[in-house]
Amino acid sequence: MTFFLAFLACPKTVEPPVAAVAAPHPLDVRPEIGAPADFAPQAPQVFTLDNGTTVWLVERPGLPLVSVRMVLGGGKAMDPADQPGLVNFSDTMLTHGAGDLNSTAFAGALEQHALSLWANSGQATTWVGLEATTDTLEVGLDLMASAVSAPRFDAEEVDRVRDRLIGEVQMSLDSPATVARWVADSFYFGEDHPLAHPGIGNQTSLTSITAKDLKSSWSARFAPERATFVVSGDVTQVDLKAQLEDSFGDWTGKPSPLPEIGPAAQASGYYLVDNPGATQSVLRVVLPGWQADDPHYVPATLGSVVLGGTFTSRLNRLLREEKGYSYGARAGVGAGPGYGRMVTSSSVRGDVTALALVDMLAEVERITQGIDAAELKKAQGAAITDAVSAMESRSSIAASLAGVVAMGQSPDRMAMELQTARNASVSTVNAAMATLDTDAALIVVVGDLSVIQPQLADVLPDVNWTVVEK
Amino acid sequence: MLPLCLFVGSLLAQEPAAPAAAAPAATALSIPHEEYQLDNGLNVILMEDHSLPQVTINIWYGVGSKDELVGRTGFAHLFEHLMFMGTTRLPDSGFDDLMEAEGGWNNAWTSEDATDYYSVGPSQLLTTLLWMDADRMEGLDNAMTQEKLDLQREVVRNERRQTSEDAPYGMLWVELGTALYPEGHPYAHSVIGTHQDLMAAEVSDVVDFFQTWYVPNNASLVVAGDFDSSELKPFIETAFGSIPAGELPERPAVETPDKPVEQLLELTDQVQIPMTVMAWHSPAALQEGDADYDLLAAVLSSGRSSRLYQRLVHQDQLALEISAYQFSQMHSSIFMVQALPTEGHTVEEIEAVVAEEIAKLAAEGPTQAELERVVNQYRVNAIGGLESLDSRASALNRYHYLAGETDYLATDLARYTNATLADVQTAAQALTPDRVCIARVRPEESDSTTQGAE
Repeated sequence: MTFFLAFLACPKTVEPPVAAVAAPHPLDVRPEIGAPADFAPQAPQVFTLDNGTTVWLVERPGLPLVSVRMVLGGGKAMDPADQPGLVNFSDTMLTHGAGDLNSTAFAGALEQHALSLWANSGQATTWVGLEATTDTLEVGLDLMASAVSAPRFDAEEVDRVRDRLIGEVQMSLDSPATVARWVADSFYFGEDHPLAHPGIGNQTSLTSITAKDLKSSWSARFAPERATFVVSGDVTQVDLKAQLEDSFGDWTGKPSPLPEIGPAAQASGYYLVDNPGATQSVLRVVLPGWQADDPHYVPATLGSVVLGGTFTSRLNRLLREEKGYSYGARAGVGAGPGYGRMVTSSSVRGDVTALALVDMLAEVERITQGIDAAELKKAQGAAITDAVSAMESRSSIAASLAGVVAMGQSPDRMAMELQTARNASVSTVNAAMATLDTDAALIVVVGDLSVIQPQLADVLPDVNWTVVEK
Repeated sequence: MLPLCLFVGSLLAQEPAAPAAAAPAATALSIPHEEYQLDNGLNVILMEDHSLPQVTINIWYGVGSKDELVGRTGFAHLFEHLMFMGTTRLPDSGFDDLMEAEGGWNNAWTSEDATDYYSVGPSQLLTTLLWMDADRMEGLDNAMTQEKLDLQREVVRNERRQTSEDAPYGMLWVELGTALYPEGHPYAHSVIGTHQDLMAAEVSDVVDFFQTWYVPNNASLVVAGDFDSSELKPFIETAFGSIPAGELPERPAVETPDKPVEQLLELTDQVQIPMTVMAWHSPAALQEGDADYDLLAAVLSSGRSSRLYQRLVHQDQLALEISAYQFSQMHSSIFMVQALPTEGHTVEEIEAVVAEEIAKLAAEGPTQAELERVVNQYRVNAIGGLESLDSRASALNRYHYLAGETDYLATDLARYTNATLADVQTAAQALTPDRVCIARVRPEESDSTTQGAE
């Protein structure tokens, strides 16, 4: 604007400058893009403590920070059938009082040193995490050891945590995306499957769980031979080993056998959940996929990136950027004990729910027919960038490698996945995507039934929907 | 009150990091960088880091929802979406296509005060990332169309539905500004805006907004990561140097209110558990007193040894969760205490105890041990913030914009380490009942699962 006015203000004593048409704008030249640098994720050093615990370490000097993760087999798969949520409740209690310290004293000891210590349960593992500095690592590891080897389960604190967990269940049920995930999981794994229920449990089970139950769950799962440490930070192997031996050397346990986790039922079908008054509907489509050891697994991750892993993915482009139905749509593959799946999801405007679902299913169908070379290159680029990002901070390194441990994979898994992704071809990705069975799709829609049922009947007249409760 | 993101995936990136661990006192904190200005006023900050083959660029424009015109709430954020809709040189979805084709990705956010665009990618993509941002800074307006506006308007309205309307308690954050700030105040309306105003936006608004605010002298560019500064500078000059400076409008002085407009905001939502938010006006970001409120918030609710956790969750068992924090803004901040009652208890009971605990702090101040604990957490957080490229790049631009001084990390941290017991006590003394705005969300329908007050 300023340019234009300045030009008009020029006295007309000369001819208009010829150069105005001749000189290209500097931005008319698009920069060249060079070759990518070599990169491989740093492999951890692996060593063993005297008590048999395996340790993976990625040394990262520079900042005085150390991230620690302990991964133990177990997880929500070890919830008794009549006590869903027991493992998560038990794990939550670990940092609420241990050894000589009651809950408040334990928290005080952590917070005084600005330490972060927590325990989370996953499907078939529990993660205990510690964020420390080089100065507080020793005291942090001592507190971590106390939490995993001598949790107190004080009755009053059990009741406080119980109230909070029940509150979390209630808040989760208020979130339509969580409801969609829970309902889909219950059908995907199938009734009685150890991974079918939400790890947090439900109000009934949480109400009935006793301190004794929590302690039994802990003692059945926590033992040094079940644990793997993953550490990243400004610490050497020699120093870390000495500190871990010092903190965890006396730890013993008598764990129960790990449960056999059978195959997922992988039910197909169409399910609706009512969410009266909602302005949007949550769509979730689950298909049987690939387990982590399946040769198709890594190529399939690339295929899922093309379908819904980035902003320009097919699903996001169509549902958000072309149709304006949504704020975003995604797809991804996931694998766990005994199963692998591909999931697509989106929150879409209520009045276009049926149209958006038809579009989503059409894209799922289309991906089974393959991708092109440009799409492959994009997915490979995303895989490299993700692998680089995973190496960026001590906590991201520790968390990424803990994920590898949780999948039961070897320490070089990240490098292997990246190399497999780099070597993938259109045909290897297409071979993976061709194994998707779209007839086996499980479809869950959470929305205002008064708005969406008439649309669904109109647009998908042959589909039988089953209405389920939250 | 979180900034709105272009794409839902990265909201987490904006959340404050969890406390990590204690730092050696001797560590001198800084983010080494070089800074200069182009003739057109563009501020350039270069930060080399060759530890990984990646780069990030971060362009911060000094415009946010506070600068919106009457009847155009939500426009700054809607505009942010339009920045990705193509130019003459790189039409339609070319920006994202080209970036993703080479392993890059991007996102952006809009707050009350600013709009920030960032791109991440492998080192070899750096000049392309810069070229794309220069290109849209130079000529986004030439390629703007009604179709693009209509499409992103729908996306943004979907964002409003997903993140505010259908999100539990979501509308509280949309409404709170109206209760705190007088009508017409730049912070009175929400960043997401109203459907009505979003529908009213026209292409001419987009062009005017671009030509007014998206000028190099209203922007700061951080380039961080694996590159050679001496090689890059000529490229930056070529790419951005030809973009003419604009004439920024005079900004009216912004009033910093002392008291809320409404002291009570009652909402209902499809939730099972009620929620209360007690909110007070507090000092602007990085201004006198600001850090004291952050420390006060930490004394009140950071960790299970904090005062409000001990009293409300541990002892009285009135609350399931409690948190206190300050939402810092350029001209006037908001200090908040947020809590959910346990079954059989009410938000009113919680509010009374919070007022009591604050009054106690106002009368006696915190203990030395409390202050040391929370200052230590800030110290450790500051080190954690030096880990990722993205967080360093973002911090440099934030300091440049809010402090007017990019090399500000050590000064920022000193605000916390130098704070006294009396400073925190003084902050508590201002949180009086006559200055509070209480915002409550209650369950829409009363049934057997409903908790709290009727």
